[in-house]
Amino acid sequence: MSVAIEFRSVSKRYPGLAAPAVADLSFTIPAGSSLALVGPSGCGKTTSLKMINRLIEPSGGEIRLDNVEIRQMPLLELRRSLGYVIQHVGLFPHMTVAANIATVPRLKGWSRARIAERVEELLALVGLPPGEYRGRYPRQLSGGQQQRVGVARALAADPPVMLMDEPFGALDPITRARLQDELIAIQRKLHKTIVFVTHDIDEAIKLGDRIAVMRAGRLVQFGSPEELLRRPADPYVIDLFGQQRALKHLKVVGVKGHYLPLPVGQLTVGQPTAAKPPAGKAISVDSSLEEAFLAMLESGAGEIAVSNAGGQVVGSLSIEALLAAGSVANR
Amino acid sequence: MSLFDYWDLFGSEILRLLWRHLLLVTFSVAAATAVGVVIGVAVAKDRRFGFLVPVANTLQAAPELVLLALAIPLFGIGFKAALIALFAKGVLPILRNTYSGITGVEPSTLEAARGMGLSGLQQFTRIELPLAAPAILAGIRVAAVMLVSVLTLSAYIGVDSLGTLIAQGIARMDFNALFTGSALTALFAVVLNYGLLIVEQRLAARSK
Repeated sequence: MSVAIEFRSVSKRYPGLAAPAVADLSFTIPAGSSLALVGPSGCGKTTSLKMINRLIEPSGGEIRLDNVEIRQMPLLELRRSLGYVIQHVGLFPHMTVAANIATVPRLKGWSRARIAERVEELLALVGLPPGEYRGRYPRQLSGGQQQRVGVARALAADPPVMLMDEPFGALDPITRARLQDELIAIQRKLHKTIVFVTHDIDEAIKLGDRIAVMRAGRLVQFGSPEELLRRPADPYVIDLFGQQRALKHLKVVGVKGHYLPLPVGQLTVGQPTAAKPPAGKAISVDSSLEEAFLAMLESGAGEIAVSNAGGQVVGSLSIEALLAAGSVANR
Repeated sequence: MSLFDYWDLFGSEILRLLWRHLLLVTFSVAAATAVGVVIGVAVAKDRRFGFLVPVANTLQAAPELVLLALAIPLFGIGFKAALIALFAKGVLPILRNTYSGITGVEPSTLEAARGMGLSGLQQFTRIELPLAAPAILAGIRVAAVMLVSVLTLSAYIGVDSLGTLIAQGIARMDFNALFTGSALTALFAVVLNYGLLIVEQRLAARSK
């Protein structure tokens, strides 16, 4: 279950400051999708996130959850219906992992049995064996483990929306990458509407179905990673991607739709056909152009076989096709 | 007479005075805790209450005999007067520790609590207070140990306590009384200190 989020001309001004922290912000996040808010420090991304759960009150405009304006809802009820994950985790040090996770369900009056079951379920979901971790205290956990508990705690009451403020910012790159992958896996199962703040453009591209680039309180560009990479609306957005924009673009375009399929009926390598699939290792049809490119660099050939989930070769991708699909040149 | 004969002869009286001292300490620590924690929390939450700190500071620094002397015209001579005059000595350490305990809670912990939908009161009772508890208890311990010795002065306004033995010992040059009174006071303070320290350490082990 998830809901759509809509920002309508949302703004935030602080008294005494000439420039608004957030100005005239409008966008829609479809239910079940994720949005990355990206931009430099002070651009208003965290402020915008915190206006959703009213930790910061908007000065103007409307924020709608499932088409209900957030100020129509009682404040505590609003917050208890939104999962909130922050950079420094904020686990309650005097409570066990299980008690931490149980926080919102307890506020909602769930039965002890239901809470216990939910804690087990969530610990398993975030990759922490319940038997081992249920009774531990936060100080006994590593940074990565703490943030897993943080995510479990946010998911506890099964909120339709998750708000995440630089959730993996305090972790080392390896742990961060692992948790990012796990979040993707969790999202595939749960289909929550997720809004997350990050200053890491690669994280935004990896995790976001859409990206909102902000600067000085304003929205610079809003769209899918592919759209932004292909058609950056602003020199600032180009800058954000850096020199490697084209390479990043390869990550977000799939092989699907760009490879040359074998004529139907031809399933084995070696049979002479009009489109003879190249020898050597094949890549999955679900790979990205980046993985295809890497495979070509490794094999040295200008063509690579594409296989389906069953391992059967279904076509081939040529370097020319890759270039055509992966180019970020203006068309 | 020898010390052991003294104890033999006056044993029950000594125990009675010990008990009176225990009562005085218990009530004054309770009062100091109530006042100290409330003011400490108030100052932690709203800086404007800060004016109360110099007041507590002054009471702490004021000589005990002055406080006693001031209390007598107001409350007469008795248990209540001794309590009211002297409990204030215990307020400052509790106040200061309450303040640092509450303000010492990690901001991210509070932000998470607030963002998750805990009300202000729930944040206070379920998060801030439990996390501040070890510091507050440390303050109570310091105050309690201090009050054990300060309350011996109750003898000077006619309120019986271990101080009575000490005062008698001084007045009559009676070594037995003096020794017994002082030793018991010191022992009381030490036991109280270590007893509260153990509780404090158990609490702190959970909250780090």
